Amino acid sequence: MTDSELHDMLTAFAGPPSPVPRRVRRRATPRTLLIALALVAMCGALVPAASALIHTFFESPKQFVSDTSHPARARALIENYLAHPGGPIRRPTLTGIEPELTVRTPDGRWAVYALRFAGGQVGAATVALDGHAVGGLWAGTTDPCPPGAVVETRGSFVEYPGHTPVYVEGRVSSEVASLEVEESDGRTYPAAIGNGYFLAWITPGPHASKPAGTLIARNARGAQIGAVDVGAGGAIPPSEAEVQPGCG
Amino acid sequence: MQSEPLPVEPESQLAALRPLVVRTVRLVVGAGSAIAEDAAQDALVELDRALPRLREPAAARAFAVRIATRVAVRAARRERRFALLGLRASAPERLATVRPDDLVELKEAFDRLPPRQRATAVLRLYVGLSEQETADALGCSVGTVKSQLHDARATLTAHLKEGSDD
Repeated sequence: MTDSELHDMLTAFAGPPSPVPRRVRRRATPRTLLIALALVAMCGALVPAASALIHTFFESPKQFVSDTSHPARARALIENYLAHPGGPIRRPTLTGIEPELTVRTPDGRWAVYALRFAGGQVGAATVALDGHAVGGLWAGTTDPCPPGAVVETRGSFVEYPGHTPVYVEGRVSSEVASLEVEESDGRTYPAAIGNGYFLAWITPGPHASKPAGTLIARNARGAQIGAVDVGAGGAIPPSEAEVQPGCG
Repeated sequence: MQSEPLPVEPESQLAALRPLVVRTVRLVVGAGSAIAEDAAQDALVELDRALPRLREPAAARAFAVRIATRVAVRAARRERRFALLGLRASAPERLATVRPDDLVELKEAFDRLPPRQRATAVLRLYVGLSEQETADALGCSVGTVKSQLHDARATLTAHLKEGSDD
């Protein structure tokens, strides 16, 4: 990578000298309204059935926060999310939480929770149950692991460079039997998998604030399916043998 | 980006500085993102308010770069948080439809760098500031500028190598 290549790219994407006006939305036509009405009617029939199924597994946020069988850190994370509806862009309304993974890591126990939001959005929360008070959650508009991927990374963070491991959380398909993070010096860290989710970590050295590693997915025979950079994130496509790719 | 003598009047200065501010913000936040265009607009508004109060007109360019950088890094960090939450304001609106593949690949890898690394690279390699000027704009040391640029190059090289291996 040379400075000249970077300069060329920056020049190519510098764009016009003034801000580009935002696109103006088209007005709804009668046809659009008719389609919208039909969709609403369809949702009216389908959503109650789907919701009933979801609520057999997921607790509501209020139930979760008041349920003392859940770790205090996890309840605090959800309570904090509910208490701060967000800034200029409103956060989606959380409707359900389900525990997926509790893992012993070099920095104590960590847990992963699946989240459901109003409007069909999904997400996950990752929280440290011991040690430093670290946690976070994300919400997405689409399934986090659509067909075409056996591993998809989502949230990742490090709070105390050089001390707290870097954590990467995401979805994983049944084709993946094991996941591990391999550092450039060859050290490996096994990742935890369960219920279609994974939690991987990498412990940085005393001075490393940006440890680099590769998340490697293997099948039941130990063969490598694919790999993805821990820092950059992304997805690992399924092997050719996988008949029905997709997480969960 | 070439530096030319600026006019003395604030209105004329703003017009002359607009391309620099807009393009700096756009490249740091991520060209093609609606958030980048909004941030560029915010930076222009901030500059418009501040220019008449500037005692030394000769410092207007450096002043504009500082404002653009601060607004852009702030917006880029907000964008990253929203990206983590899956709350991007809108799908990127492509400013150009046809680009060579390698440039697009490099641009996508560049947009994944931390905001301050992006800002360092833009100020040094696009705006053409010296290491000291870049450090002043970012409020950091020259050593930090060097290490940020080094890290950015290394990350981009690794991304592109990974892409070519696939």
